[in-house]
Amino acid sequence: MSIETAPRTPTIDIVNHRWQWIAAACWLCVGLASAAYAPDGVASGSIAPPVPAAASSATSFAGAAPKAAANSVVSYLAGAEIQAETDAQRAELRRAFNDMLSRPADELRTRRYAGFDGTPAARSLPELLSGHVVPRTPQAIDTARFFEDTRSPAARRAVRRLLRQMKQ
Amino acid sequence: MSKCVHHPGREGVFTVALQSYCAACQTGIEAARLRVDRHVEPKPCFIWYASANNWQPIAGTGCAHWVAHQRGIKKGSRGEQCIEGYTYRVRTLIQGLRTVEVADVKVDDIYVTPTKDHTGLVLRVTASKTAGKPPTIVIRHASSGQGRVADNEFATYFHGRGSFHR
Repeated sequence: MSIETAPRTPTIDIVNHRWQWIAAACWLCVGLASAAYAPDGVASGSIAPPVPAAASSATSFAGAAPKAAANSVVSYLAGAEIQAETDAQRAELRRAFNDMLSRPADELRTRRYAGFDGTPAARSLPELLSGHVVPRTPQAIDTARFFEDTRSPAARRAVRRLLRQMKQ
Repeated sequence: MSKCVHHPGREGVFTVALQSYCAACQTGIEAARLRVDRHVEPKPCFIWYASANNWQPIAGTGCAHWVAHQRGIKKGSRGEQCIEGYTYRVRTLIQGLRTVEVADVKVDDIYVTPTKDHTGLVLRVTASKTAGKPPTIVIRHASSGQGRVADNEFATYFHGRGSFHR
């Protein structure tokens, strides 16, 4: 004896696969919501302060360096505090930020900047930044990625934000 | 001794500010201490756990860190303090303090530059002999430009600009 089954209709297919449809709808919503945010985690057009990548490490204290930030420049500069004593130091820091906006990664690797005391060509870009820019969470500049990461729009926004901060 | 604060699976072998650290951290801490800039004071605690097994000197000039040690200021979260627990950010240092007029400045008030990127402590205040003129104020600060803790006049070295906090 055979049991005759009714042919499936498109309506029955939707019902049978409702969880896939619901999942697809959720995925679409999440995608649209993500697109409304800038890559560095700052809402487009928002006045909210920059939010660094979440700190996460089971073995380190609260506020330790992010493990897998999307962009090492953003991770270091977003929410950072500038420390400089003299106008010469501030000018050198502005020069470095402008270089980060205008020069290619290969050139940035070889650029030299004055030391704390004004000695010409005493520091590399990462050395200059770590001497004057205090990131929001403990971290070191990841030199393997840093120079290439300066090219991203999010990194350029972070640099411009600090340049504006220096003018205030 | 308790477990290492960064590696809970390892025994602590030495302690700083009630926190235990393992042998690997001790090695990293000692190496990082050697790289702290010459103007920073005190040097041994101006280091942070930058990433996994990576100890580095704290970023920045160390100006706020010196003031924090002088005044015993331990504001901010653990991630905003040196390994002895003292604040190293200028803005965190002066949080909650009131601004003092130049005419009312006293010894031990905290000086901050207009852009809040440098700080020091008032060392001496000498009243002017001419009525209505501001006092002569000497500020002691961890000076990255001079490579040491230096004493400089507010009116000349700092161009008479900035604010005082108490």
